[in-house]
Amino acid sequence: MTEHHNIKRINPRRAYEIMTNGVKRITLGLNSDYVAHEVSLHQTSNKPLRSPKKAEKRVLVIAHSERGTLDDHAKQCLAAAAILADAETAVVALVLGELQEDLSNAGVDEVLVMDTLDYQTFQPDIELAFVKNIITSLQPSRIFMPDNLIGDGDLGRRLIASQPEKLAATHVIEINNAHIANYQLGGNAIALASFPYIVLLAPDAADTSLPFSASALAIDPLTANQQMRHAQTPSYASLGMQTIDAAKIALEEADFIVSAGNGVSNVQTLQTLAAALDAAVGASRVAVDDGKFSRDKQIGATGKTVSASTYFAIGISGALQHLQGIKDCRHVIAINRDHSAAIVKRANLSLIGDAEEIMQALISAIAEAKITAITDVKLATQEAA
Amino acid sequence: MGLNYFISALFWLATATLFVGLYKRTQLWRTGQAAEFSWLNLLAIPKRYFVDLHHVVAREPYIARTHVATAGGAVAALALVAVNYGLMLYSAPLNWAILGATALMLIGVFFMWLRRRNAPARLSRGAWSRLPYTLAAFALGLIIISLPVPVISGSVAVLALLLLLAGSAELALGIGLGGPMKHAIAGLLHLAFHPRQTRFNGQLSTALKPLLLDEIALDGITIENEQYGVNKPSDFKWNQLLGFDACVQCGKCEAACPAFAAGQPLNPKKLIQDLVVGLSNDEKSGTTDANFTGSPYPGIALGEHSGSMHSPIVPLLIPHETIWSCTTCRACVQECPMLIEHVDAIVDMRRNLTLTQGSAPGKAPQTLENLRQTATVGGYDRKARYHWSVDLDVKTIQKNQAVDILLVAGEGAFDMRYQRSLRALVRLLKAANLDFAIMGALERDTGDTARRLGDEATFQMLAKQNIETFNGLTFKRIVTADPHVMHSLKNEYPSFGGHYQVFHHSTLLAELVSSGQLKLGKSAETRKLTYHDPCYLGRYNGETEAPRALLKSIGFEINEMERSGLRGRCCGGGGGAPLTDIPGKQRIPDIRIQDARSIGAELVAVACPQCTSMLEGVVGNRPEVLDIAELLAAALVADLEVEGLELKGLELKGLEIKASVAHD
Amino acid sequence: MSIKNIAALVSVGRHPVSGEARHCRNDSLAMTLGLALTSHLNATETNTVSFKVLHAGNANNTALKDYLALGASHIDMIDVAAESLIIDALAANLTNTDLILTGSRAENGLDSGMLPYQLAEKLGFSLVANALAIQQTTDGLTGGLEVLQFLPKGKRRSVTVQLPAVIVVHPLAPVELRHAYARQVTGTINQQASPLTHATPQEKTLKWQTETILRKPIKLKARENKSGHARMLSATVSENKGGAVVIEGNSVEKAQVILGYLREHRLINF
Repeated sequence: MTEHHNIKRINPRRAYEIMTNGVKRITLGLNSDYVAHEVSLHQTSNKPLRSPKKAEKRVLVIAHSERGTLDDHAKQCLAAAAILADAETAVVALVLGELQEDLSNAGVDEVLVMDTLDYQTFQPDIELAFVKNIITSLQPSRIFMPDNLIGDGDLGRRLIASQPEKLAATHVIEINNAHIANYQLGGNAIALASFPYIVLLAPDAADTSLPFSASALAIDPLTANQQMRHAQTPSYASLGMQTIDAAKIALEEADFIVSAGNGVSNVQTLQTLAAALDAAVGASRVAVDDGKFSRDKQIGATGKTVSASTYFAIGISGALQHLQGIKDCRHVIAINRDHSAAIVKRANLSLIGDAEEIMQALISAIAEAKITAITDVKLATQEAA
Repeated sequence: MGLNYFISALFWLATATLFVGLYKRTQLWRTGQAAEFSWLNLLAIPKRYFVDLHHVVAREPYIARTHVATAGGAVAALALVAVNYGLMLYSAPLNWAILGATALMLIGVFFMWLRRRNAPARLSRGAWSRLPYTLAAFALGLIIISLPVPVISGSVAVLALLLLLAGSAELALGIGLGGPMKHAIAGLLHLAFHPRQTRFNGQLSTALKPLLLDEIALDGITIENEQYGVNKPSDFKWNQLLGFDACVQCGKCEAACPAFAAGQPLNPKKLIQDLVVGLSNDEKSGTTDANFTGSPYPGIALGEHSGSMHSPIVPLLIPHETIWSCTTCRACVQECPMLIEHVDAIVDMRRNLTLTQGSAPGKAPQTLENLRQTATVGGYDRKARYHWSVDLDVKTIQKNQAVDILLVAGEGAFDMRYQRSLRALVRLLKAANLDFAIMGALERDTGDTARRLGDEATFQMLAKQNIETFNGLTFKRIVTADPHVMHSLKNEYPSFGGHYQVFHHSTLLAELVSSGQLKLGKSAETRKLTYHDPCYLGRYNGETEAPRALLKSIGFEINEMERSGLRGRCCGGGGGAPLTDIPGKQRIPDIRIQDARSIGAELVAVACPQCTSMLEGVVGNRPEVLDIAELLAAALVADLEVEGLELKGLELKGLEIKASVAHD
Repeated sequence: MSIKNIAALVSVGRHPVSGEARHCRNDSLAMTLGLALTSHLNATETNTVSFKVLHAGNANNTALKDYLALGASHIDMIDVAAESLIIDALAANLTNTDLILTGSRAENGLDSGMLPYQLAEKLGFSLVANALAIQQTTDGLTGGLEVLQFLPKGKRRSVTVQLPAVIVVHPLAPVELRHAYARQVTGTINQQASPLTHATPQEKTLKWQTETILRKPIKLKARENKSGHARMLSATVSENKGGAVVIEGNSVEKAQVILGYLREHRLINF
């Protein structure tokens, strides 16, 4: 190998994009494996398209939708599948439950939607039979599913158990083309294995921000699969769903927590705010010690460890023990008088000021926003009519 | 003399009644479990009465004097009556003596009555309020018959007899039926057969007695109930039952109890009285607590609980929360004039609940699991216990390396706040040039919390593991900043074969300061200081002077709070109480901080990690809480040492230091 | 079909910090739920319901004692030489069982949460996961079990399942574990030889390699082929990633900032 072979060469036919104004634009450093396409009309982004022209292989991502959308966890699976797919491989999403969103930015090339298999109805035998049929007809090289509690973790395991000849891994926390990894021995060890056929992906193993988009072509699953099979005598039946009031939900389970510290003088305001945000109420040790809240509301090393997506810390200085209890919270918003408080360093957003005043203002702002939202929906329905 | 014969008859009738009643009462006590005892201890009663018991009673001189007059007069009068009328001597001089003794008794009764008119809330009413009248009746009756009058008119004689009858009923019948006067007999016998004999030898007896768990495990046969603590009244040792009967319902324990003060559902007096209610063989209906005439458990109504000898105490007779409210601070035991052991009874009942049902409330089960699985209270990594010392250049003890002092940090080492105190302590030990080492990853929790929560199995497991570790190490003495660690190691490990010289850091430092090995200047602190006695240092180990001496040595004046020294008020942190966390009206540490505030203290010196965290947990404007070690370290002379120079001598004048430096 | 035989499967756990062998909490929940159901059925039904606690694995593990302390009066222990035989050994022992209760995930071994599924597949049983509470269906016709299932965000679902069934209990099942030493002393562990004389041909399994140091997993990210322009942009205009502190402005403005943040991250839907 000689020196000049290492000289970087520029591809004269490198990738370009045609902008909406018709100007051809070459973006430096863009991977030339990607074929340039005209930016399709329904796409809002100007990202290049990844979809292979002619897919030779397919990877299948199976996930339940919730209220017409796929959640972040499911999108991480889609992203992982798309990032790992080579130029000849198409990413096929099988969505169980209705889908109202566009998945082109999620890296999906083909979308199959089976809206009767909603996650709210418990029908694992029917789902399994359906999924197996799809697999038979699509012959995917890999299957990705989110390892979640809205049915995919369960369905995935049923799928794995039903075909013991196929390799599979669950709770996968790390994924790349060379290997997958998960925690074993009760979280005391990280274990690596080569890429299996089925991967049940744990949350946050992949980043959903993709530098490309995809065609997200809708395909009728019933043509792919001819017909839904129904079990003769159903082993399972759903009796119905119930939703626990956010105020009564266990803090460990809550997704949105409004938490009070010593800086909260008026507990009532906090309760009102929590109700407006449909959030559970927590408290710091001092607030509990002070008798403002019961002991089961205490968050921190000596109280509960919470993992809400949103943690709203009001008047909490952020003692180390408290921060220990919220280490798994993704978005921490703090209201505090003191901008040097420890919580401000931890928080993603901090508001410095009087807790009571800001809470009151926020309560009115929320009430206003809710009214606007309702009118918007009404207007939209009127227009549609 | 017809009257004399009547009185003799009455005397023997009363005596017979007393013995029948006493026999019945004895049978109840004997339902309890066997306990080691010696009849010879009966001989010890006078000393124990006049020294040990009187020592407690004399804290309230009015009562002491009243009791001396009443009881002394009564006993003397009864003895004389026994001779004069029992033996039918009817001698006039003896009558004079009876008259004198009875007059003394009547004076005592008068002052008793006077005080009862405006009795403090801690005293029980009911039968106890009746006592001055029945005793006065008895005394008056005796006075009448012993008057040096040749002939008493018939009506007066009848009156005298009626008065005597009323009095004798209280004294003789009352004792058998469990009336107030049973305290006289049960109290004296309790002094003789007390479950903690060593406390009469001028020693502190605060260690809990071990349960025999291993033997049970080996045999694998059905377990005697007594061996898993106390489930029903008959599971108590007989001498414990006797002790409960000695209670005079004076309520000194109630007044001292921090849980009661905080409005938690515990009242030690009521607890003992509930156990007395349980001294009943009435299996079917049981006896209820409705007749209790003192303060109930805060927040729990009377009349809803009942019990009998063989039915479970918790929750039928005593509510769950009551058992778990106790901080094991021993203030009740310290105050009890009848020397009753409340804390032992509570731990006995806790043992049963924990070992047979696993029903300790709150965070207690999680803590016990942590202790079993990680040998730490908080479920921490044992290897991380001494992370705070990494930059202090401290030796960690090695198997084949002898040291003078082994420093045992305890659970406080995991608390970032308390690490400051520990770091200060290490600086002091280094300044005194001591040969010491920390225990490092070898240290397991002593199991103190497990034991107070009744988990004897976990405590014994940890104790045995620790003793095994200690046995593999070479050290002369153990020093700890945690009085709970100290109590376990010093007082409770000997039962399992671990005998060590254990010192609280304050004791050691006081020695070092007085011997001149540790040179301290004067504190720059100007704030008003008070010292809070940790229960496990003061009451459990008798150390109240060393911390004070140390604080004085660096120039502090100690402003004592209400309740200090051996009678110090608990911070609320002992006995696993912060874990069981039984709700009350306020928190115990708030009360203690209020004590400090009310004398205007701006600084509270402490000597225990539990006290530190409890008192610092008080919300709002409060005095600063600092460990003695922190205050001392701030006054460390060595800190003013100039780097690179060798100080040969130090001369102190206030904060000024003159150092004569010699260059070699 | 009414329930006659209930079994709970227990495994040996491991404390996450100390590594000390212990009961697996998830399995303990399943066992306690089984104990409660058994005693409830025995108190209300005419026929007697039997309950057994089963462990397949290494014989010399003292951690099983924890299950005795937690309420099992008796544990059947099948001594299984290899991990691959566990499913077969359990299945052979559970053929006559109507209801099998398991935890959701072990604390030892692969922790894949697959065991109940493989067992149900092998036995041909139904399976319901994420169970919070169980009770026998009152309606004789549906003939089975009513299960309250956990779903995230405070949702619950009631389902029925035909017996025989495997029920996987969710870690948040409202079950109070009570550890009592006295039960540990009186309870017994009965060791049985594995009924399997030879293993069925081993199925394909992944070859796992355990790393010695516990590290943070590496998140999969798309390789950004950013243009020089984009790189310059990202270098100069740093994305506002948290840590934003708002000091100025009145309360109303601050409330709007909060609302904006919540909307931006789709944490609210209004």
